[in-house]
Amino acid sequence: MKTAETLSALVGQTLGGVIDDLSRAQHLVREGVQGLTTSFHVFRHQLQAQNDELGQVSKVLQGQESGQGFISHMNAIVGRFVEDLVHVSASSVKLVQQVERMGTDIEQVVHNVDRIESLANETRFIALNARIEAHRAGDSGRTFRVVADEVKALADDATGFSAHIRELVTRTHARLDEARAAVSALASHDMNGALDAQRQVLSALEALSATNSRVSASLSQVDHHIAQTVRALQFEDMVSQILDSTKRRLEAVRTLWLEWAARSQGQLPAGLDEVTNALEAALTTTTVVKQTSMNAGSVELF
Amino acid sequence: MIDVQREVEGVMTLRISGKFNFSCYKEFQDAVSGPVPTRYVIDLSRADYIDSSALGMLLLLREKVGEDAARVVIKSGSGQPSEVLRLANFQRLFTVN
Repeated sequence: MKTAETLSALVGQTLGGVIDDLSRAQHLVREGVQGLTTSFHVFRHQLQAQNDELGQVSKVLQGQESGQGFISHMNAIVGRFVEDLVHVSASSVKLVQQVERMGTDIEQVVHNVDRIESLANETRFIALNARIEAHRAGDSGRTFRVVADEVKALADDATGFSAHIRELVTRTHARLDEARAAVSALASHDMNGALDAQRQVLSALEALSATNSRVSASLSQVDHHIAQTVRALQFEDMVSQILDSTKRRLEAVRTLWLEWAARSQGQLPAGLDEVTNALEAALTTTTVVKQTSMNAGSVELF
Repeated sequence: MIDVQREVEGVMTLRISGKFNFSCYKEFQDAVSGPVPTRYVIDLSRADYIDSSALGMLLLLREKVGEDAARVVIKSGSGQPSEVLRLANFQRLFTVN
């Protein structure tokens, strides 16, 4: 027969163990929740820092107002390049006009050379006639013949000069054609490269804005959920309060039991034997987590 | 190719089809070399490509009318020509529509 002391000790031990377990559970939950809360705060802080970094990057790329930032500068550079290109083209077209006017002027020179040549031919014809007349006049015409020869020589010189001028004009014509070709090449630039460059700059700007707003939206979502999670973790406080009151009630039961056992002194009523045995068996087979700290634990505990 | 509609009520219309580049220089020059009308209309709605020399020719035409934006009207049409005109900010120098 079991004694009342045995049962009393067993019940006291069981209740004591339960109260200890509750304390340990309370401690573990508190420690875990504190850890989680700290982690979430760090997480939130890091996200904010990332967001700030991203803001810095986009400020450099985009600027805070239009006209600032790397992308706006790129756009301005493309604009200036195009403006310069158009001005170079306009000046080149103007040069082509000038070159063509020079060509027209040179044609005037050719026209005048033609006239000089026909004048020289006429002069030569006159000199020839004068020579014939001088010949006919005999000795008295000798001086006149010398003059006629001089005039012919001058006309021949004039023909020589005009041939030289014609040669120069031909050469100048060829050079003007080359100049015209060179300047027209200078005037003609394809604009599609600049168009592409501007398109790329603008699409980079759009993509950056889109990414910015997506990241901001996602960050504020995450932030909202972290705040909710941290709020939800306050359950630990309530659980702790419940555990405290449970412990107090169990303590009261234990005190009452011990008082009853002290008063009864002696044999237990029949039937309580079985309860004692069952309690003993339960105590030997029940194992509980012995850990008292989250830090001391390892994964297998959970 | 440039189709020129000589002065109708002080307006001279140059309709340019295909490519507007330096190959049009002679035609363009001939078309605008006469007496200056009240207004030039450059119709690019049938042009599919313009290069910088076309922009240069338009700038010189603007000089010819005393840099008065109202006196050179460009019908920009669509596609590459209108994009190039926008890229070169021609809406600030001409009447572009």
